[in-house]
Amino acid sequence: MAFKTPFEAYHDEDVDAPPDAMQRRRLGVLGLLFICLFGYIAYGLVRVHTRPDERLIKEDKLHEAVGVTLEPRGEIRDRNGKLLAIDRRVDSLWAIPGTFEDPYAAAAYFGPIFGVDQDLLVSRLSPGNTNQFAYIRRWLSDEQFERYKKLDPKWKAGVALKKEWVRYYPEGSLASHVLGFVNVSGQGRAGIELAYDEALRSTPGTRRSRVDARRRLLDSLTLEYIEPQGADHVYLTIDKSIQRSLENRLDQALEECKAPSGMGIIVDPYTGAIRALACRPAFDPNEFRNVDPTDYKNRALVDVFEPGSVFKVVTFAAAIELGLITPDTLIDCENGYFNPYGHGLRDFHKLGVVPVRESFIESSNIATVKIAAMLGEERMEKWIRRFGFGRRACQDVRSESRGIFRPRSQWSKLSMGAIPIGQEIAVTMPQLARAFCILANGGMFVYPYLVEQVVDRDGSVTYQHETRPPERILSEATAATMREMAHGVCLSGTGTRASIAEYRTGGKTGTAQIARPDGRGYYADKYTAVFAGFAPVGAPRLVGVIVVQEPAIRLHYGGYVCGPVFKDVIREALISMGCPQDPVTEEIAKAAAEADDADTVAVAVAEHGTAADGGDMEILEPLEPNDILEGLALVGLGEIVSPDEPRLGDLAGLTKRQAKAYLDVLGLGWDPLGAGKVISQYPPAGTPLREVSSCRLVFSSASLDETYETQRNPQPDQL
Amino acid sequence: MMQTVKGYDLLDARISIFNIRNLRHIDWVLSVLVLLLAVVGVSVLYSASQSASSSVLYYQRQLIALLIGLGLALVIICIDSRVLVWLAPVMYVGMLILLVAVIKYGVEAKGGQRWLQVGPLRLQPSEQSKLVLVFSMTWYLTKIKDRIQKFPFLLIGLGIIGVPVVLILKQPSLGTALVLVPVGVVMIYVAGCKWWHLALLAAIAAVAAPLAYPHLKPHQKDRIDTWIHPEKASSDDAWQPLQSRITVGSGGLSGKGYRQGSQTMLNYLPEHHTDFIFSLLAEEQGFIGAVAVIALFAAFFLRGLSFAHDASDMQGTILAVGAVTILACHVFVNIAITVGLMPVTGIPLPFLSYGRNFCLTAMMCVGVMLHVPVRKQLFE
Repeated sequence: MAFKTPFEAYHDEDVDAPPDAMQRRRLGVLGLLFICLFGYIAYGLVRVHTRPDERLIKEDKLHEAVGVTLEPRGEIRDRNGKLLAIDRRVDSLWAIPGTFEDPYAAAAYFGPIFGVDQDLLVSRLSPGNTNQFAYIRRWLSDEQFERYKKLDPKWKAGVALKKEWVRYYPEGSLASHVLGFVNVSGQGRAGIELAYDEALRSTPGTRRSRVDARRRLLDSLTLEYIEPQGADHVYLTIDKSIQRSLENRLDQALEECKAPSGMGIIVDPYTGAIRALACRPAFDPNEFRNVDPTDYKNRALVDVFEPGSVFKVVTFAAAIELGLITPDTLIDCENGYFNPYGHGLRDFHKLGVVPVRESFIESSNIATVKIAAMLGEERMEKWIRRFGFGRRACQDVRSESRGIFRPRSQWSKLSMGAIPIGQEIAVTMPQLARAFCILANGGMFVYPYLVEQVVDRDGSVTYQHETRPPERILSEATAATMREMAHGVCLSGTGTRASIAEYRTGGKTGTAQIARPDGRGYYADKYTAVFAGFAPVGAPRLVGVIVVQEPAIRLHYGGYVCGPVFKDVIREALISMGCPQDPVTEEIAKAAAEADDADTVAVAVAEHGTAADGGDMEILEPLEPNDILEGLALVGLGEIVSPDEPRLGDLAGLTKRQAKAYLDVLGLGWDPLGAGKVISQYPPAGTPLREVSSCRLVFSSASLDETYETQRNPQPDQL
Repeated sequence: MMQTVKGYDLLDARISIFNIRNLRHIDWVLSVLVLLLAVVGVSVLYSASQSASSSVLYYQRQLIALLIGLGLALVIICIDSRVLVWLAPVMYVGMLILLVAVIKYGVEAKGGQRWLQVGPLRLQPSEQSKLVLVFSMTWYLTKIKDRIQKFPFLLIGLGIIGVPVVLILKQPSLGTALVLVPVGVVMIYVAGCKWWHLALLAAIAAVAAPLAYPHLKPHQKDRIDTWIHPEKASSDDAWQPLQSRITVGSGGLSGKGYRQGSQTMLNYLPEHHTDFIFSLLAEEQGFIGAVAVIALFAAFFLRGLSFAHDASDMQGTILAVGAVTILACHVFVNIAITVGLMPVTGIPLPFLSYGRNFCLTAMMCVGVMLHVPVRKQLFE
């Protein structure tokens, strides 16, 4: 179709004339210009290809980036695989410095919300900060994260979150000294975290790949991948439940006896595996920044102390091993005072001529010094070294003390009167534990250790603890003899509070004065209370050492302060380990009770430990030194005068705790009914103790029927 | 045949305001060239649509715009161009109104260009002004004929360009203004002005250009600085031209392969579907592909100029020159920017760059170009 009307409004002859020659020429010029311009852009194209910018050549490099895969640090688990330390992802809030036009306003806004110092924030956020990155708040808590979500959008736009791995100890302060902690930069700074830092630390993996314009790594265009290394998991020998019970019990003991610090160790005597190692006070490694650095120190490993009477086991074991004495050899304990080296020795229990066994049970200093004299200096020194004193005990730790044990050449003339009873020597707790392990395991040397195995990310074991070839220290028989003697300590000697009802317990108590740091003697009123022992005596499964420093109560003795801790912890551990019971038989208990001193019955002084250890250090002037070997060559049995037979006291009116403490002292079981104060007891007061193994007590809240029942039909349980 | 025209033998039914039979006389060489360029354009856009950031299917939208543009081109071919030239003063006034309106009520798009929302349509007055200006200049130049040799008439001609250019600069759309000035100048030149008039004006402009520099927008200054001193440029300013050259250069001789352009796929090059589409082409098809497309453009423009040369009347010559120059300016400036010969400004590449308004403009230019020989055919 077409409109038939021609367009007439616009026709002009001249307009309708074709272009003249000049115009055509100019069109030709234009055509040439076009060709030139095409040539020009073609030149530009060629130039890009042939004379590339330096940066064009590096095009590939520009399009590659390296991504870092941050892996969490390795976990630390206990022997049962329970988690002790793990890394978790935590958000950190950050911004690019200069993002906020007014850093003061930004600081005034963020500071109070996240609890950061405003001046600090200003310096971080001001454009003058040349970093490309500034933390506003590192490691947001859950609560702070909630606050972040509620930020004013205006401010929120300028900040961002960043995920970071942060060490987390789910059990808080549990085993904090063993675990140590990790600093802000992710380096282990104490404990296992430090000692095994290389294994635990993770080397970030890297991935080199092509990136898009937003510098996002493109998975499908990965050029090179380096796997993350390290981050192995460490499995400790620690048993979380034993550790916890040790820590709780220590805390309780420290509170009861108002002591500032204490420590304990539980060891498997056969392997040396440390099942629990605790220092009090503890710290929370999650909050390591708020902790006094002195609290990081694993004092269980670096603190040395005079062991006191606990150390006597070395002297006795050596002498028995060498055949110098037997438990039945009679020894004259000089009725409690003896001055062999111009230095008076006192015994708390004034003993006459008694069997060696008895002198050990009653922790006679005089007997010990006499036995040491039989050994002589050379053998004494050799045996102390043989028991591992003077060298480091633990594996898997960075810093540990050797203790203080001077070589014989530096001994004074008093040394043979001091070292055998645990003075003039300082030991560490693991050394002491090892000495008792040797008794407990039948005479073999052990090396206490903390790390059972290290497992890498793939689950293959990269380190497995191997027990060293056994090295015999004592004969089996000597070890057994020593165990029986140590059992006696718990049955009827200074360690009755450590005696476990279900398991026959062996141990040795010690109470030593704390030496002044300036080397001038001892503090008059500062003590270290120690108990070291094992259970069950027949085939010991666990060895424990409990140390409480500076107990501030009158009864500062090792047996009294530390014994119950040992008892509760070991008992619980043995039960949970499923160790078959090995109770003290009734007859033995009775015999023990009979053999026990009358004064053990008196609660106030029952737990003397080795009270004389420190107390006798004052030099008694002009006394002639006794001839030490004079009293040793005794033959036959001297008449041993028994004190009055001990009898059960009247418990009426005592509280439950008082009654329990009383019965515990006597090593008696109990069977309480009700609560409140004692209103009746069976057996009645005055019954000879040897006839009693357990006492049934009725407290004020018990019903009359029960009371009646108790009196009519007594059935004391044998616990 | 010329006599027929001169003798007002316009009752001949073939010459009428709207004659669909014009379509029978379409120049097939130019049509094939346009078709090839359009095919290349859509396929390159198809590749660009794959890149990570764009969820929009640009090639589909472009295809629709091309079809609409084709329809408009066919309509233009059928209309007697003298009608449009006759209407040019009206269109010019309308254009000025729209340009003022867009400054007042326009919505800003990226690159400074603004658009007006009129119902469902998005008018870009600066875009539509290109063709209107060609008609207006043709109207003026055919009216004054050889009086263009007189300097005042030349200045009036420049004034006709100058008013919309100033308005467009206000938007500010530097790219469009940069196209309009050479288009006007070329039309005046071909119309027969004295060459030294233009030379004088060019000299004045060359002296005045540095004076204009302080009045540029900061980002425009940065772009010029970056172009002159690429080594001093901060990374942000240098990013686009640098990435463009990297993209072009990394294509090598034969290219990375269709839809294999890593630079563009990974969004290193912003705007690779619009102003930097040529980089994408050069990356994927290499130097050979880029040169081939340039050759297509060259053939297209030379063919267009031959229409002007062979036009049956001066009006056809001027119209064809205007239409060709519009497209040529776009091509030269766009590719020159792409290969780093010019500072960056937003100029699309005809038939290849995504942009529906410009697509319509380009197709209408093609319509105008095709109309010129059609008229000659009709007279013969």
